[in-house]
Amino acid sequence: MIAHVAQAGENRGRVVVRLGEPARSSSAVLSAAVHLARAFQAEIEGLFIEDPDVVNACAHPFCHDISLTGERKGRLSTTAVGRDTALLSIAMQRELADRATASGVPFEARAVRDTVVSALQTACSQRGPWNIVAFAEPIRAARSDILDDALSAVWGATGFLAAGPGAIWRRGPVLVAVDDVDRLPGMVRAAERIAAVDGVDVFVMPVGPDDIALDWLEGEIRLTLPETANLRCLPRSQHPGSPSVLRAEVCAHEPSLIIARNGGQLLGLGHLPRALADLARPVFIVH
Amino acid sequence: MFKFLQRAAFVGQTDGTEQPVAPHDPVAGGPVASVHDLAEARAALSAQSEPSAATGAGSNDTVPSAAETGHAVLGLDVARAALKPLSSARPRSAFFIVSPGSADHDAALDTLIREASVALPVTDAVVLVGTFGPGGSGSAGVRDVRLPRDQAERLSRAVSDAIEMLSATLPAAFASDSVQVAMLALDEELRSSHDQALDALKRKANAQNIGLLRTPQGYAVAPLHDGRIVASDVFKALPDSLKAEVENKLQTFETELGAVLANRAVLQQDHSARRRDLTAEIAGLAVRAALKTLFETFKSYPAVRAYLDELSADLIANAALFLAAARAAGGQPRAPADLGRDPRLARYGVAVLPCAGPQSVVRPDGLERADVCGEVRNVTDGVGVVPSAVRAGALTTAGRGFLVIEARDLLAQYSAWPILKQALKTGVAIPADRTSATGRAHGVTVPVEASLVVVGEQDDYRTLCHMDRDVARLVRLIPAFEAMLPLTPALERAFHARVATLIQDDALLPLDPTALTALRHERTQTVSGVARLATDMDAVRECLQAATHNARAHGRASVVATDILAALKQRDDRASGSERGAR
Repeated sequence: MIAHVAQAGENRGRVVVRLGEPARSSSAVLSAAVHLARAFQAEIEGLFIEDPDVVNACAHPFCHDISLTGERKGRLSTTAVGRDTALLSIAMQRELADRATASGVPFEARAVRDTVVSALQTACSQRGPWNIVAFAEPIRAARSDILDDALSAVWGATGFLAAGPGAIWRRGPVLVAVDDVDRLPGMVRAAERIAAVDGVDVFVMPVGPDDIALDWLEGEIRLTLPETANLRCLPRSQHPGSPSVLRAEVCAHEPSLIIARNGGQLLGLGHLPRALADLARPVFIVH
Repeated sequence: MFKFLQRAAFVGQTDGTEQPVAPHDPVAGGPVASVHDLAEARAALSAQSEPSAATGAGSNDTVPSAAETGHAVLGLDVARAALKPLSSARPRSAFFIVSPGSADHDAALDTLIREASVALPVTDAVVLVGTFGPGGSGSAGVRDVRLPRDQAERLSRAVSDAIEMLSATLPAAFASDSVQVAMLALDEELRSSHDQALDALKRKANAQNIGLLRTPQGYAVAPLHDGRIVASDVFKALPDSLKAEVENKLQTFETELGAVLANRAVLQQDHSARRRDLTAEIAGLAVRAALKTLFETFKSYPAVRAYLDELSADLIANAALFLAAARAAGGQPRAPADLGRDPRLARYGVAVLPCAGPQSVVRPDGLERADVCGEVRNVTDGVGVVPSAVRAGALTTAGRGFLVIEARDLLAQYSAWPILKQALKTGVAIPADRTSATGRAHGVTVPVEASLVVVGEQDDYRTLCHMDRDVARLVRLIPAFEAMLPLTPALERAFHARVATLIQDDALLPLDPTALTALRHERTQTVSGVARLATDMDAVRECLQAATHNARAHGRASVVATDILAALKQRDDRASGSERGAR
């Protein structure tokens, strides 16, 4: 999949940034999205997705808009919701547009009224050959269903960029967490493209369930990837099987971005919000 | 030889062994004092003179006496003895020293006061430090700390260095990954607690086919079916009983939703407290590291330790100042000059007030409050008085020494007296503040240890006593230099030596013995049968200059009595001419 990103016609690819959740966008994700677009010479699309259920609810005269403090209760009106949504959209798009413009990345803003998964599916099917979907809002346990749904349903996406609430974007190596040697060359090529933007190193780290798997992976990585000035094969973890220890080891290398497989050893199955929070860096999730 | 002669010329005037003598007959002649036999006169004087205890022989080693300068005034030893109380003066004493006020007397008096000040103990420097409001609420003014001068300078430099260091280390501490993540985790904990409550409500509502929606301004609840909000026309088609039931449920959930949202304020409060604690913990590490050396260096100074404790607390509470400044500087280290100009950091400055010396004699430039007590300048709104804004006045720069003012100046600007009196009584000076309605700084005082010396004539003292009864009680009267002194042989010799010095200094013609006798006779008055010699040598100098002019006009190589008499007549004529002109 990553190889697909790196090898495909770059000018025809996009980074689609999902906006619309009334929460502050993760600065780390926005920066990482712009960085990916620069690395692959792609454009960024800010896709503001408006919840159609809120518009439907406005049609009910007995529905009220209860303020964030719980103190005020008013009529839920289509006009007010439409106006506020438009303002929210403008604010979110502007934040992303400013970053893209500053980095010289082409930017396009779009707003749709649809469910998140459906809107992303549509967006990814409209253009190709590749799309990276970035979730601007930090992924929290209470709202992680959207990411889970997207990972399982938006097949048009080449990969997903997401981060936990504490994520930081900072110059540092691009770390590739490898648990499947077949994906190694493609992941490393993509990492090298991303790292080249800032002239940083690529770290390749074997991650496996046990010592046997890790020993084998480490050997394979060293066979496949001769170390160069900018590529470093990290030693295997001494504590296989413990995801939190593994994530702490990854953080200790202070990467700028982590590339990992969905459902793999680093991110785990069904524990994405926790993994993203632990890693504290934007994560490029590939299938 | 000459120095010893000059000193010896005045010895014996106060030892009580000499008796007043009758005025000399100018015709009979007197001691030879012309430049021709000056050496002989000096030799004779030196042979019979030894420095007396009253001259403070030891003190001449450190402070040159007026006699050594070659401009000694008559009655110097009398004055020195009279001024002896100055050398044991307690802090904030006040003296009125009677002196004729000629240039010679003023110079001699300065020397004598300086001699007296040498005996005073050396006191610590005045260091002004900031005082801080409770809970880091900002500057509350300044207070003083006393330290030996070298330690004071050290404290000032060390605090400045610590602030410079903190301007780099505090932002760095907060910028570290671990701290940022800890902060975000704390924020996330608040959000999660809130989200969990909302999530639980959402699940409960969903179970009853009620949907919880996020709107741009808040939240809403609406009827739900198959995971989607029921369309309006569909809902309208429902039986009335069902619609009523749904609407009742909505009302219930709206109430519950309101409660959950309102609880966020409680969570927020707890979160704020924890964030503050975390901030204080991180800032505390950096502040303690920056001040560690200071605490160790000044551990034996309780006042400094107390200040450093307060400083630490304020720096920790106001760490955000450093972070904001670092952000404004784009994360670049700030130059010391830039830090020095930052009004928000000014309260962390330490000012060592200047002192003219450990034992000082200071004459103020003026008698305004600012001249005497100092002044507070450049007070910035919202920052208050900071140590560097305080300029020291003469009372402070005099240290433990003497503030000397002329009585006529004090009488001309009598408003200065209450200010001086208050400073002497309370031990603190209140600096001037031009921006204040009262003209005085608020919350700022500077300690005073100097003693006051007012110099004037006896009448001036009486006038001051008349204007304020406290003067007689507070101010000790010391007659130092009398206008007339009983004419003893020693005083006569001193007079001759002084005349000889004047002739030499001004390159005048030497005096014939008759001329010297005539001159001395003119300067002598007999009161109650006792001959008294006038001590003002300015008049003698004028007379000698006129007499030299007369002698040269007559082609003489030395001044004779007739030249002196002619000079005196010319002086009297000028005086009477002036009087007529004035009339």
